[in-house]
Amino acid sequence: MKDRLTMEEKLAAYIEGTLSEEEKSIIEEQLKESEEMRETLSDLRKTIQLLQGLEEVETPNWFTEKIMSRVREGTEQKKGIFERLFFTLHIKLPIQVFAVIFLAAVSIFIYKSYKPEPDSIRSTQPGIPTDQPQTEEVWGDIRIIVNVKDIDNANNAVQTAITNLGGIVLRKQSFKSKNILFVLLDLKQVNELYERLKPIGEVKEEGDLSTVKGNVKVKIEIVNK
Amino acid sequence: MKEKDYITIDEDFRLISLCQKGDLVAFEELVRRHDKEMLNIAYRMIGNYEEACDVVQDGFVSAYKNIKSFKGMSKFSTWLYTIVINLSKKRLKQLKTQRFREPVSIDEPINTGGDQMIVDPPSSSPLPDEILEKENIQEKVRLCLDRLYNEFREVVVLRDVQGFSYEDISSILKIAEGTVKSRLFRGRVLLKNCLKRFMGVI
Repeated sequence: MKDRLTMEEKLAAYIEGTLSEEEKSIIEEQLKESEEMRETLSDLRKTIQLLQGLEEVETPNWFTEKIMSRVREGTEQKKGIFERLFFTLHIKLPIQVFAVIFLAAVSIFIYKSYKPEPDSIRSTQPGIPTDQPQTEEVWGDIRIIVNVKDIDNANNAVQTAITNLGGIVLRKQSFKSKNILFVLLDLKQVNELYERLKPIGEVKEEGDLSTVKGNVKVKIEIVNK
Repeated sequence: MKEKDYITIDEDFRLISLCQKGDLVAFEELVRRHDKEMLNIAYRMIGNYEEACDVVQDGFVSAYKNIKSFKGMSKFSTWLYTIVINLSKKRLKQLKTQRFREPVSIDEPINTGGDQMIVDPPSSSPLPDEILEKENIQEKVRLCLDRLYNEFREVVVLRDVQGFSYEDISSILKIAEGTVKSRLFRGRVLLKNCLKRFMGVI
């Protein structure tokens, strides 16, 4: 089904340069003879200019953080699917039946706990996990630690080196005496990066690149000596 | 393709493959690259900044949830903008019932010689003159854009405001290039008529 354009729409198409040669000639003849058409054409051109001149709006300062926070919430909610499934089952089972089964299980457990057992069966308590030390985000194929005297200068130098090698700084984190950069870099540039970091400070590398292809995730820690 | 476009597309794909493995740091970079354009498209579609911000957030959350289904058959940006246009139209529909908004874009139907576009009847409540007097030209353009029928507004926004090619618009809106052009031309005429009515001389 072919749309038929009105004369005004043909003028809009004329501005765009999408009319056939024949149609274009017809329009140009008509424009020569009709002031009204010339005015309409001029108005259309100005309309397009006004549209093109609309100022862009800026994103709010908090925008990326808010988006990422919602994205993270979404991934955490996925982990709750098991709870939701259990909850569905819970609805199916009468609460009283569940309570009875639970109480019976607890009673049996308590009875067995107080029953004398051979030493070999009395196993040691499962190791109480020690408090995990506060760890930073685990990320990256390799980790490069750069010990420096001036963290701010070093930060700029490192980022310059990364940019010059075609790498991308995905994210930055600042701590009291350390800056962390999450970097994506071509595998072929990693050695060169290492060489460029050496003049900046004492460089130490950890990790294994033997299985990495293409792009490498590099976590660079710039640490104050 | 410009060199800059080639590099940008290539880097997007690098990041997308990481995102598909659950890397949120890579996704954050994709957000930074595309959030402004997304917001401008949503804002020009919806006409309200706060609503546009909400829609863009929803758009990125949806994009991350579905990122594994992105197969690279189109540009990632095209895929993203399709999401935001669809969400914007959905939000507009919700807002229509909640607030005073003119659903009509034109005073007269388009005469296509038998292929009539279906339009709503004209509004009986014109915009107050005293408000219009205070608005600058940008606001008048925005108001007239807001009054366009969705199908015209989206092509006018993508082509004349955001500068997309016909090919990209066709991919984003999932319509033929010919349809893009005809809607664009009609949309421009309608907008021109609206501006003339409210401004006199453009």
